[in-house]
Order: sequence, then C-alpha cells, then structure tokens
Amino acid sequence: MSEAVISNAPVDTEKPKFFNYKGITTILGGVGFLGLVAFLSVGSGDTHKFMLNSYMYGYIFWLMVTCGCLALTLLHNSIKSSWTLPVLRIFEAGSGWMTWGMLAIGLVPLILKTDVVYEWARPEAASDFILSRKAAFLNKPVFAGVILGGYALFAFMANTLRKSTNRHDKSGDANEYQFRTNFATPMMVIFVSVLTFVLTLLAMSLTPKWYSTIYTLWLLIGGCQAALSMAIFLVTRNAAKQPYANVMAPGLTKDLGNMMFVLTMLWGYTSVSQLIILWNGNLPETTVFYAHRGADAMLGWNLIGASTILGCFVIPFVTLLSPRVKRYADRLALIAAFIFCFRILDVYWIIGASIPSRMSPQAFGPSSIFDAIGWIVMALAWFAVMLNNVEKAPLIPLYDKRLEEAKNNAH
Amino acid sequence: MAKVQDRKLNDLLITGDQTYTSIDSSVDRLILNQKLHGKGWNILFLIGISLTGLLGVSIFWLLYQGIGIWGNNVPSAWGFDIINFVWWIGIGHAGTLISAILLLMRQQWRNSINRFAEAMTIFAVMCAGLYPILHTGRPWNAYWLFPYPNILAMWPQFRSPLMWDVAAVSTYFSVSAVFWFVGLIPDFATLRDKSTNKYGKVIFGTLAMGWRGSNQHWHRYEQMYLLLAGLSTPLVLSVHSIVSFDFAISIVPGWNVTVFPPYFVAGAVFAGFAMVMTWGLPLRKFYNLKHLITDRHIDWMCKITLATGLIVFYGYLLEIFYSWYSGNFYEFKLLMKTRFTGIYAPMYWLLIFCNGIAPQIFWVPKYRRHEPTIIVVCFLISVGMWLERFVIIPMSLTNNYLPSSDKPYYPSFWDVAMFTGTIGLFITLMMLFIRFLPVINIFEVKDLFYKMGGKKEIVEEVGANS
Amino acid sequence: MAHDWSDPSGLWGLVGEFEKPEDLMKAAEAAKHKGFRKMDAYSPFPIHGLSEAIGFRDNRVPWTVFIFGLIGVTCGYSLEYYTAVIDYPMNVGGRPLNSVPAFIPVAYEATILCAAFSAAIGMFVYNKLPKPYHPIFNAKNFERATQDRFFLAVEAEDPVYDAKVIEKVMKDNGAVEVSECDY
Repeated sequence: MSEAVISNAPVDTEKPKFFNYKGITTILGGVGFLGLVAFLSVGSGDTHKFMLNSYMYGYIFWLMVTCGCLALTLLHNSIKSSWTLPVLRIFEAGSGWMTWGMLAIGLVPLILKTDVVYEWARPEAASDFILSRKAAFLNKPVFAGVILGGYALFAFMANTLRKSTNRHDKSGDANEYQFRTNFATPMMVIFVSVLTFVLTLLAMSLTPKWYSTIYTLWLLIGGCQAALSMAIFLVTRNAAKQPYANVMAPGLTKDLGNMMFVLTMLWGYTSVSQLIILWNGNLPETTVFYAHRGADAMLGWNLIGASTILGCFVIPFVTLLSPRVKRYADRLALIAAFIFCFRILDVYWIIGASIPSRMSPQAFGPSSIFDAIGWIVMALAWFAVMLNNVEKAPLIPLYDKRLEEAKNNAH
Repeated sequence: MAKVQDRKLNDLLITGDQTYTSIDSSVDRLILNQKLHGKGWNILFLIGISLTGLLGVSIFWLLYQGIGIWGNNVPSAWGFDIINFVWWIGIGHAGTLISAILLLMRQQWRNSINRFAEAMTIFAVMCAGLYPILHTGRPWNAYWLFPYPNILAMWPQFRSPLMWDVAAVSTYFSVSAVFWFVGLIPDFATLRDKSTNKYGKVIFGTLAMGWRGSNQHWHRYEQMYLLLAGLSTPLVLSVHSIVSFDFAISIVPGWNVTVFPPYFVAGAVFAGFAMVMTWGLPLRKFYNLKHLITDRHIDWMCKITLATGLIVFYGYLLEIFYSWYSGNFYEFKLLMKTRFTGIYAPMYWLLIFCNGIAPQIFWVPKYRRHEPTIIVVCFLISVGMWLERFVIIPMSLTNNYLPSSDKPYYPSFWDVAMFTGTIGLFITLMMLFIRFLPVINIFEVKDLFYKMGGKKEIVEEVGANS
Repeated sequence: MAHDWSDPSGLWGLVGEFEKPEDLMKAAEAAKHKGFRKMDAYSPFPIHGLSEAIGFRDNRVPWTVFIFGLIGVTCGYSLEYYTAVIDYPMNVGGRPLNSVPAFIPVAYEATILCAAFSAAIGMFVYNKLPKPYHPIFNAKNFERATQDRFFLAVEAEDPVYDAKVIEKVMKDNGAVEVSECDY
C-alpha cells in the first residue's frame, strides 16, 4: 500500500493541539458554570425560568457525552480492544469522578427548582390521573436520590478503572488487565440498568406521560457517537504529533472509522425502530413525542429532525462506507467534526422539543439564545474538567504496545 | 484481584501438530469415508426422519381439516404457529451473526464454526417458514403474498408488518442460502480433487463450478464475501426487528414496546448460540474435531451467550418497569395478573429462570469449558426462548382490553405434533448435512492456520508486554 | 492472440509448484518485475497481498453492489408507492397513502436483496464461472492446488514469454517443480 501516508505534515514533538487550552477553559468554564448554577439555584422570575428550561438541553447533552465516554471505557476494558487505546485516555478523562462531580453540582438547581422544569413536580400533578399513579417514582427525593446515587456509582466505576490503568502503566503487571475485564463487564450491565432510571427521571419525564423503552439505549448510543467523534477529532487532528504519531496507521484510522460507522448504524436503527413502532401504534399518549416534532412549520422541529436524518445518518453512513475516507486522519477528522455538530442538533431535537414550555412546532424563539448560552457554559465546564483530568496520565497507555507493534509490523 | 487465567492445553484456535493436509482430511473424511458414520448417526437420523413423518402427517391433516385442528382461536388467533415461527427464526440468527458480523469484526475464531452455524440458519429458517405459510390456511395460495400483477387487481398491503415479514424472511432465506453456497464453492473444489470415486467427482465437480483457486478469483471472491457479510449484518438485524414489529406496532398490551427490536435481536442471537453449542459440542466430540473447535471457541460462544442473555434480561427489566411507569392500566394489569400471577405465571417464572438466571453461570470461567454444564444451560436457554415467545403471544392476547378476551389458550395435540415434527425435520437436515457436506469451512481454517504461521496465538494476547 | 481450439495440443503455459505461500508471493513479485503480465497464482485459500504482488486490481464487484443497492431501494420504494398510492389507494387507519415509516422495511429488504444477489452473481460473472474446463487443470499435480500446494502459472500468450527465464525465477524462489502445461 503506497498510500500509507497519514498526514502530510511533518512529525513534530510539541504538545498536541487543543490540549493546551486548559488555563482559559478552566477560568471561563469554572466562573461561568458556578455562576450559572448559583443563579439557577437561587434566582427567580422570567429570565430564571427561561434559563433553567434551556439549561436542561446543555446539561443533558454533556451528560450524554460523559455517559458515552464511560460506556466506551467500559467496553474497551471488557473486550480488551486495541483500537480504543489512543482514545481511551480521552474517554477516561471525560468520565472521571471530577466530571461526575461537576454534573452533580449542576444538578443542584434542578433539585431545588424541580417544579420550574418538570410538570410532575407541580401541585397540579397530584390531581392528574396518570401522574398521580407515577408519583411513587416521579418525586423530588427519588429524583435527587437516584440521579446522585447513579452519578456516585458511575464515578466509582470510572475511578476504579482509571486507577487500574495508572497502576498498570507504572507496574506493567498484566493482572491489572484481567482485573479490569472482570470489573468492567458486570459494571457495564449495572451502568446501563442504572442509567435507565437516571435518564427516565432526568430526560424522559420532561414529557411526563410519554414513555418509550428504547429511550435509554437511543440516548446512550447518541452519547457514544458524540464521545467517539469528539475523541476521534482530537486524536486525528493531532495525528502528526506525539504521542499519536507513534500509533497512527491506516489500520487504526480504519478501525476508528468503522466504530463510528457502527454507531451511526445503531443510531439509525434505534431511531427508526422507535419511530416505526410509535407511528404505527398511533396512540395519543405515545405519538405526543412526534406530533409537534413532525408538524409543518418554518424553521421548526421537523426541519431539525430532517437535517439530523441527513447529518447523523445518511451522510456519515455513505462517507464512512468508503475506505478512502477511513485511511486518512485528516478526512476522518472532518467527518468526526461533522458528526459531532449534528449530534448537537439531534440532542436539541430530542431534549429541546421535550421541554414543556416548548411543545409547539416552532424550534427557535427567544429562548434559543438561552439554549446556546447553557450549552456553551456546560461545554466550557466539561472541557475544563476533561483537560485537567487528561493531563494526569500519558495520552496513550504505556502498558499496551499492540498499536505500536501493529504500526511497526505493517509493510 | 483475579489472576490471569491459566492457559490449558486445548486453548488455541487450532491445536495439535497440523498441516494443510491434516486439516483437509479431518473435515473431509466425514464425507469421503462414509463408514465413519456409525450407529449414533443412524439412530439420530431415524429419530429425525420419523418425526419428519409426523410433520408430514400433521401437515396432511391440517390441509384436510383446516387450521381448526390447532388450538388457536379468537382471542388467541396466534398460538403455536407464531411462537414456533419466531423461535425457529431466532435460532437461525446465530449462523448469520457468526458468519457475517464476526467476519467484519475480524474475529478469526469464527472460521471453524461458521459453516455448520450457517447450515443451521438455513434449516431453521426452513422450519420457521413452514408456519406462516401453513397458517394462511390455503398454502397453495401463499404466492398471493408477493406483489405480482394479477387479475384480482389487488396488491399486498405494504403497511402491514406481516408483509414486511414476507419481504424480510424471504430475503433472509435467499441471502443466507447464497452466502452459504458461495462459501462452499472452494470446499467443493477441494472435495472434487480429493474424492476418489466417480460420483463424488461428478457431484462435487459440478457444484464447484470449475473453481480453480485462481488469485483473480480469490480477489473478487473475497470482495464479494466481505460485501455479503456487510449486507447480511444489517439484514440479520432487520429480520428479527421486523419479526418484532409484528407485535410491536400493534397496540396490544405488552406488545407496543419500543425496545422490542434490539431485544428480539439479542434474544435471537442468544437462542442461536445456544443451539450452535448444542450441536457443536457433540459434533466435535463424536467426529474428533476438538483440534478445530477448541475450548477457546466454546469459551467465546459462552461469553456471547452471556452478553446477549443479559440484554434479554435487561429487556425483561424494562418491560416490568415501564409497564408500571407508563401509567397504562392494561399494561400493568398484564404484568400483575397474567405474568406474575395467574395460570400462566409458572411459565413466566420459568422464563426468568431459564433466560435470566441460568446463563449467569457463564460468569465463572470454569463453567465456560465444562461441557455438561454448557449443554444443560443451552438446553435451558432453548426452552427459555421458546417460553419468551409464549409469554409474549398468548399471554398478551388472552389479557386484553375487553373482558371477552379473558379466555385461556391451550395448544392441541396437532400443535405439539407439528412442533415436534419441525424439530425432526431440523435434525434430519442437520444429519444429512453432517454426512454429505463439509461441516467446517476448510479453506478458511487453512487460511487461519497460515496466518497463525507457527505462532501459538493469532488472537492478540492480553498484556502484550508480559 | 487467441488459442485455436481446433488444435488439440499446444502449449498453454509454464506452471510452478510451491510449498509455501511466501515462496509463491516472492516468485510472483519477481515475475512481475521481469515483465510478465499474463500470469495467475492458484492457492487453496486466499492469500493477503498476493494480488498486489502479481499486480492485479479490480473493484468492479463493490461498484456493482453499490449500484444494485441503489436500484434495489428505488425499485422497492417505487413498488410500494405505485401499489399503495397510485394503483390501489386505500385508507388504513387514517394513515397517509404514502406512509413513509411503514414503507421503510420493505424498501430496505429490497436493497439488501438486490445488493446481495448482485454481489454473488457479479463474482461469478467477472470470474467467468462456472467454467468446467480450463487448461490449468492439465498441470501436473494441480489437484493439490485446492489442498496444500501453491501454483504460479505464466501463460504462453504473454508477450515476453520465455520459458527459461520463468523457470529460473520460479526455481530461485523455491518452486519444488516447474512443468509445462498444455491446452
């Protein structure tokens, strides 16, 4: 294969791009996030109400990215895949205990002001036939307990694995590998089960009478897609820099591209399954999810929905089918960035349109500004934590030389 | 902290001192040396063929009398026929999974088990296909299901999931058959060149279609094989998803569940792998194939069984939780009155035991290599997956929105006879397959053997720096 | 120059027999450097990298599959549209005549069906199979090409065909036997 060139840029040893924005993101993210949380926790009035509703979108988006990171870390450790090695540290850093801690702090305003966002937390809910039946689950103590408990559990999982990889790096003791496999596999089961309840409370109950059993998987696959595309972007944009230059090979980019392809397929599969079942079932309580999202409107939810079909499925699907895209790091970076952008829109479609005050076909309005602010603040805070965390270990695990061997053995 | 597991002797993908010739002969002796098949084969074949006779009798009686001889009647218009249809088609799925998905994931351990798993797929789909065709009541008119221009001036109703089923199952059967056949061609060529008697030469020579192992041919062959794998993967997902739509897009309590597609697919793979092991373990034992189907293979298959079993179990959990969370009275009534309690409750709890609890033993590495345990668990899984369909179909149909639906379903003698008959048909076809076609993909195992190239391991070893 | 089939004899080419795929690969590469083009290797299983060694490239199968996949999806959906909207419109539970979500599965299966069959048929067509007779079957020991031996054949029709050069290339790279093969 003569086309084994990954990137035309010469190999250099300076620090990889994007990882050196730690200082500025920490300041901006820290101040912005804490300020926002404080305002949302104690404020009142219309702006506060708008902002809190909008905050849901940014919060759930970055929660799902975190969940995606953790899910892929667990997957890596249970099947011992080699292609995840260059992205593993990003996943670990993106789902460390600090990130879960940040998300827990971010939950405070939601716990304090549950009734601003959730219909089931309002006094009227007690007299509602269906909501009163659900009150044993949809109530404040369960909301706070399950979600915070879930975060603590997820943080524990992430931390245990992270500590093990760090020990493994230092000692080179292969038993660590087996330990992580033995730990991660059952944890994956627990993770998905607990996440089901967390997401039901946090996201599904925004439309309190609606339910869909595939919801958790659907959101989690989207989260994995976002996490993977972000990590692939960071790695492939730095393909010419150390330490990534040591492992970049057409085989690796192909594997990463294929994994993104698989997630794209799964996302399409879960989305279309839910649509077919609810659309054909045609029950008022379940089609409520699609009714305003599909209604005719200028710049409405239907437009966003249609664009995500193209941007999250059709275009990545066709592009990643081609081996020529997957062989070059720069091209893979482009498609990864593209997918990530459309993930932002897709979560907007799922969460944004579920916010009770927005149950109309119109997607954009004055509150869109608040949505954007909430998302950006959360993004800065998330990256601040991630970048601080990622520094604490080598960017590519030292204990596993499979990728470097693969690169050296090729040709 | 767990120790790195000790590596036992029979732990590689191919064991013993092998050569290309020895690999050839360990597979093709089953065909070229017909004396190898002893009493065991005869007995099983006899059982299979007798039960197939029973199938013939039940089909005859069914056609003569009409489908009234079955136990299903309103409100349970679906009974054994659909339960068994879904059960059989699910069993078939492991074959496609092994041959297609694992090929795409470059899991080379698949090479020695894909052939008989694919054969199982085809035979299972044949058994499955019988049911909907017979359930039409007038199977000679079954071609009405296909869209062809006709003097009735009618077209099939493509909004119906039953039509989706027709499209999915017929596509699945034909694509699996093609996949299987093209996979056999190089092996037919080997058999053509190795067989010494005239019939063998003529038959395998014809089937091999003049395959000569040319590099240009291999080049296109591999492209095609990979593409077929790439197409079969979404196909296998879609087939069982569409089967699940038969239920899910209706509004019967317990059916309108959005997680059905992935949950059905996982269940299918779960049942399929159990069946692959049910056949694989005796096969490797009685025909001395332990050097090609090693403990490593069995171990991996147990792990996949466990993983898919957990997804299925997660599905049960979701069903329980969301039937309450939905706030829908009928959903919750179904759960409490028909599943947890009531006359069918033992079947529900047996299902939880077979599919939810029994496979958990595979967490322990020791039992993933312990053949008797595996056989027992696989049998339980087959039972469990049958029960799952029972739980879904008659239980929901007999507990519906109207009090008039409250009428239990019981299978008739002919339901059971026909089910036993399809098992017989499956056994017969498998026995014929073992005797007359290569049960292991010879060229792929040789390919694997070459890639191992004297190395002990082809699978990337854990703890690379140790 | 095509072979005159009225002549029962005539040299088809030179065939070398190898014990190891690596030797075959080396010989193929060496023969390619000597300028031989009308040659082919024969092996019991596909050998990764052999096509590059011989200098063979062909991507018609993937393209055929892609095109037939597109044809499949178009035909599948058109059939549904024609039957449900144009020729036999019927109101089913108030759903629109063109029920897009309900029409996805059949269109999808049609895509897979067309693409999969075109893959298999394409392989046969481009490989010119079935072909019951081929001169290479006359080569010495060739029945082992499907078992445990690896063959390299250079056809006499090759413009630079030179038996001595070929024999040397093959022997140098570990051929256990080099023999002529007739039509």
